[in-house]
Amino acid sequence: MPSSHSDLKDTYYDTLDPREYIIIKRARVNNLKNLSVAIPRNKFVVITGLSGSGKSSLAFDTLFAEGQRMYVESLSSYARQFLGRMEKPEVDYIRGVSPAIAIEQKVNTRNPRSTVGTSTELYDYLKLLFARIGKTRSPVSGKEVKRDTVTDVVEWINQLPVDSKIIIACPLTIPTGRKLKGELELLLSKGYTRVLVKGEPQLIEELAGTKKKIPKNTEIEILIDRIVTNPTDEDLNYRLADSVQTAFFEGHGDCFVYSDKKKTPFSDRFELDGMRFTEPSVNFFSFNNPYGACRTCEGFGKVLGIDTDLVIPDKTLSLYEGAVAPWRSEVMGKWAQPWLKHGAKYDFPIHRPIADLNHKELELLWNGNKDLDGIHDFFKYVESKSHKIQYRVLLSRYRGRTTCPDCRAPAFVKTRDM
Amino acid sequence: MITEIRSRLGYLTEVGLGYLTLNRLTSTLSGGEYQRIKLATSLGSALVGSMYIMDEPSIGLHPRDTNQMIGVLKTLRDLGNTVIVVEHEEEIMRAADQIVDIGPGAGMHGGTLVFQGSIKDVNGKSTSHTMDYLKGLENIQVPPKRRKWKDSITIFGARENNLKNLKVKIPLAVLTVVTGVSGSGKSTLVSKILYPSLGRLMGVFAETPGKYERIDGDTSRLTSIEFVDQHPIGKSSRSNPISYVKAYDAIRQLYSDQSLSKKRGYKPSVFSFNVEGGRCETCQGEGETKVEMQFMADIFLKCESCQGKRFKKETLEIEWNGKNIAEVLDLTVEEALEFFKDKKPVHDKILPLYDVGLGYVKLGQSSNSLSGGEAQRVKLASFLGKNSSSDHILFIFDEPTTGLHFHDISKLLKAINALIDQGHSVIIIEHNMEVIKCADWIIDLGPEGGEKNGGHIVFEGTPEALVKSSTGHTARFLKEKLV
Ligand SMILES: [Zn+2]
Ligand SMILES: [Zn+2]
Repeated sequence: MPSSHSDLKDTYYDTLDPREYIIIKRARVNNLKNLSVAIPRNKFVVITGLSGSGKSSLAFDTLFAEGQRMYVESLSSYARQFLGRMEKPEVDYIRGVSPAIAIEQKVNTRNPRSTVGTSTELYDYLKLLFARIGKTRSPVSGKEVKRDTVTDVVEWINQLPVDSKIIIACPLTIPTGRKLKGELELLLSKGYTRVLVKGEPQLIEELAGTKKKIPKNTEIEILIDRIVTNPTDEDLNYRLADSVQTAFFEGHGDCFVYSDKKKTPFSDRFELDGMRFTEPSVNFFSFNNPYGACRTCEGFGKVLGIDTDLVIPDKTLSLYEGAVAPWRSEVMGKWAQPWLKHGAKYDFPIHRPIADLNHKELELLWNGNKDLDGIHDFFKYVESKSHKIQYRVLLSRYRGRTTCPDCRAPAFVKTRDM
Repeated sequence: MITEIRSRLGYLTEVGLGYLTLNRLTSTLSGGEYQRIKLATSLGSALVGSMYIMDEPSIGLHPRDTNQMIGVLKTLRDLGNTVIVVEHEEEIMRAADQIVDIGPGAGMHGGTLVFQGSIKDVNGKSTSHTMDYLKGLENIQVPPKRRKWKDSITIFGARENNLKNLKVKIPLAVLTVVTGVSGSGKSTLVSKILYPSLGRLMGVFAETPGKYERIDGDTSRLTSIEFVDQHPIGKSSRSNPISYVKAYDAIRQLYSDQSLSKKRGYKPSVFSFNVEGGRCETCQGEGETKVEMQFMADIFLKCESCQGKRFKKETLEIEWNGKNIAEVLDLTVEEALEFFKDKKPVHDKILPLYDVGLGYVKLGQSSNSLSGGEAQRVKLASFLGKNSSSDHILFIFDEPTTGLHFHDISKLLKAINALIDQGHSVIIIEHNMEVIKCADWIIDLGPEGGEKNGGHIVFEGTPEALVKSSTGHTARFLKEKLV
């Protein structure tokens, strides 16, 4: 292509292939003076010029505007009803434009929870990842919480020796206010013939007809199926899966497998140690969603509290030199006195700059002990007096947005253990 | 999925954002950082056959990071996309397959294609300022002498964000440039500590400063402090350059003084689109109506009642020198200087806009259509117009070269130097080498970006001394400019 274009004949542009070039002929947008240009496709092109030269008119008001117009054209009729009024850039023609993606510099601040992670879609992937491979542990036993699927149970049965005789059962729960007899008749009508009483099979008809009194709390289970195992028998596997599914349904999530009198329980509920857990899902890991967000800060990661940096504004000072700002006043100075007198007893270095204190010493300064009141105790006291105006003023001076004490920045619920 | 996560993190690093944490709130990012995040995301979703149009991806990037950005743009191209970038950054222009130069000047002196091709295609002097600069035939002059200083302000114990307990001396009555790679802490030092803490002393700014110990020195020399940032000059489409430099009042007065206005009893407010009276009530003087789209940028449509003129038909019947108020607002600054040349009060108020290189801007252009760099220069113009000798203002500029061509940078530097010559002090946060080389004093932060490797003072002193010290990234790039 020739390098000086101002003297090119306009007809030159008519001869170019729009599959190879984005062709703009005679653009008059803003200050553009019948500007014609052919920009090679699939190249990296810089448009430059002084500010006000018309380069943005070319890039945004002409090229992008046309790309946007084309995009709208591909949309629903709702969107398209505005198209008639969406002005075409003032040009003779533009050819070879693809749907345009303009990457602008305007920060979209509409969502205060939007973060680098969410804007890059990285969280979407992390959420998927954790939902798929994340493990839930019980805070009581530390064991992994798992639900049993039908496949899990079938696979467990099939690992038993071939020709094992097994029973698939589930608990019979009698809703309050209903009689055992009625429930048994219901079972009969559903087509079940046997139950297990204390693990022993018995015909339902017999049990229902017996004159003997059955004590309350007797363990009764519904016998769903009896099977002789054979993993290679495909029909049998289908029947197994069917029966396990039925057991989970009738047993409200519980299924028992008896083999050799040994009872193995399965549950398709997500629970352990008597607690029910929420299964990891994509939503669970979103702090834009009330499911997974910390309840104290609602997922913002910050709460209004005592700002430690306001309390100790200059960390090069020692406690003796007045590092704790609210204790500098004459009245509040009495909170520092015990430290200056007895600090040494607890190995607290009153002459050392706060910045040089170790973790244990800082912990002591904030939380205190049985003899010394810490900074937190001080603020608890101030809060208890906050009906008095001067205490409220004092409190407000040290309030700020601080890291949420319950989740400490990561905006997820803290009881979860990944 | 792990691959997906890895590649996305990789792209974030490539666009020079490796120092960001994933839980950083988007609302706290700069425009440049946000754009680069969007860019990284586009790379991740790997669309093919699209046309990417970007506005100055180099904004906020230290030259060291620019090379990575170029790599990213090339990746996007190699995926099968057309990448069109509006840019003035030298390295990016050199790396492009093609440069399309629009000009040769601005406004009515622009609008034509002056050059298209690669830098290799030019020999000797051309009609293109861009090419001449790239070929070294035009230059921003290095000042023959650095200004000396004796008064200064010192910040002690600056610890906000990643700053490592810094003690920094800031000279007065000279041009100081605070520089460093992205994330080095330069903005934190100036915008979060120096400005609010001095502002508190002067009683002009209430926001709490970041963590620092104290500020000391010749603070009593200063009468005020001004942060000239790139935020829009007004929140709505109703603020515009002409009202910002206080020239609109005089123009409205002029129109209400015309005999037809007097006969009809028109007050100056009739010629305002901010209040009821003379404006078009369909669009309430906006000139356009907004249609909110769900998945894309809002669409603005011209008001059908006033055809975008913002005023009622009757208002537009009042003319001065052959033009009505809507036509006057449609004049560029340059055209207006000619139009008002016999009306000194109006002319002199408009002149500073021309001096800062905004001759092409329309008087009534709504502030939200001005770029950040243009908004910043409008503010600069409003100060240039004041010129009162008893003041000593400390001006802070945050990346004023954003959006500027070399040619515009030299104009801007002229305007900034004019402020110093009026007795003011100027601090510029900047990584543009053309500006750094013109500084009287440089404060270089780094050595890298981020919590761990940033926040130290790498160098304090004159440009010559920085090159001599050859410490840090800035010294390396500055060396080429000072030979
Ligand atoms: Zn929380
Ligand atoms: Zn209107």
